[in-house]
Amino acid sequence: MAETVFDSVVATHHGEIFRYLRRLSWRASEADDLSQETFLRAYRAWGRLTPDANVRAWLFTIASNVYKNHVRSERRRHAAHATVRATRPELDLDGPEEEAMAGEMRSLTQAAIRRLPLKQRLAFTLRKLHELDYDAIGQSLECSPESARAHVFQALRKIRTTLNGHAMPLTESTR
Amino acid sequence: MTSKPTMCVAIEPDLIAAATGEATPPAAERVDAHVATCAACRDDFARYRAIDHAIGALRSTPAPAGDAEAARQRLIARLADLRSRIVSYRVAPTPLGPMLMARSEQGIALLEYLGPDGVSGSRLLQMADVEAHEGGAELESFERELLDYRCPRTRASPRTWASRPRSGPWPRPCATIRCRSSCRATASWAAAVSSSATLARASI
Repeated sequence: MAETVFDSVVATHHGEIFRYLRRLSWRASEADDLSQETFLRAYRAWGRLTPDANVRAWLFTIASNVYKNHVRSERRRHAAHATVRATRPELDLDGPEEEAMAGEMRSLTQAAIRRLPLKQRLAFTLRKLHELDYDAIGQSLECSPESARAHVFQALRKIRTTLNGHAMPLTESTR
Repeated sequence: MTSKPTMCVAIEPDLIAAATGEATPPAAERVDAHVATCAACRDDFARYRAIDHAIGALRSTPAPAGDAEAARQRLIARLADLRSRIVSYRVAPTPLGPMLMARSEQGIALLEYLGPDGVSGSRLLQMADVEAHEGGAELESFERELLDYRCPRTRASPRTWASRPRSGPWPRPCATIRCRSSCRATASWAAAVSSSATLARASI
């Protein structure tokens, strides 16, 4: 019985959690491992989840914790090279020439997100890429909604600073 | 490093919020009024809008479907493996001492009288390839079945372990209990615990 319910949780949420972890790690194999770990942890804790719990926010919480642990262990492993590699994202940015500048902007933004401090990166990704509200983000990151909002704004400031000096495509909406 | 005017510093949080669609209407109005007269903040606003635009594009860029689907298939395989190993248990105080009742996801059951070390000394926790978790509601029906066996439903009073007579050991071996149990206690657990001294104690 529990299997059926949890199977439907996997069917409903796995794609989004995988995308979240992929955005954080940018490597499919890493996101694969981390999403598996997330759902295996969720399965073990499934019986303790209250009926009125927000399953989506709960899964994001677990995924964030799994990712944080992963980053900590990676830091320990690569203490000398603190992973500031500007890995090229795996997204397909090929497109018509008029898209080139916007594509470069996306690429630079991705790289800037990747360089954010961990908590800001998590808060920013949850808010801006997965559109969770600040209450849920606070729950996921074990901080207040106000702190979550502050993390997101700090992240935006840092991204803007990182992109200083780069030409930005000023679309109609930015003028 | 140039320092910003105080007004520009003060309005920056609202400016970021307005540029990224998170400002309240009054804050957005304040920003509109300010950027109309401040070229530096107008430029900042435009840059934040451009960043927000790029983020919107990232948001709508899906992860390659093949990656996610392959990951889901691998997860399903690992979940199946976990389900075959995960065992819930609880401990009931019985007249013969604390008894550990365990049940796997597949309905395989185990009874074990605990020694002085309690759960930490149980055979269940020593078994390789078994993930034991303290359980709750899912074991209630199992406990009820055992109580029904020990004390058939001829009594009107509620059945509890504490109400068992201290004398009069269980008349049938524990193996029979397993066979009677409707939760499909089966030979695989019997094989797992066949060498268990504690099982022998449970067979009194």
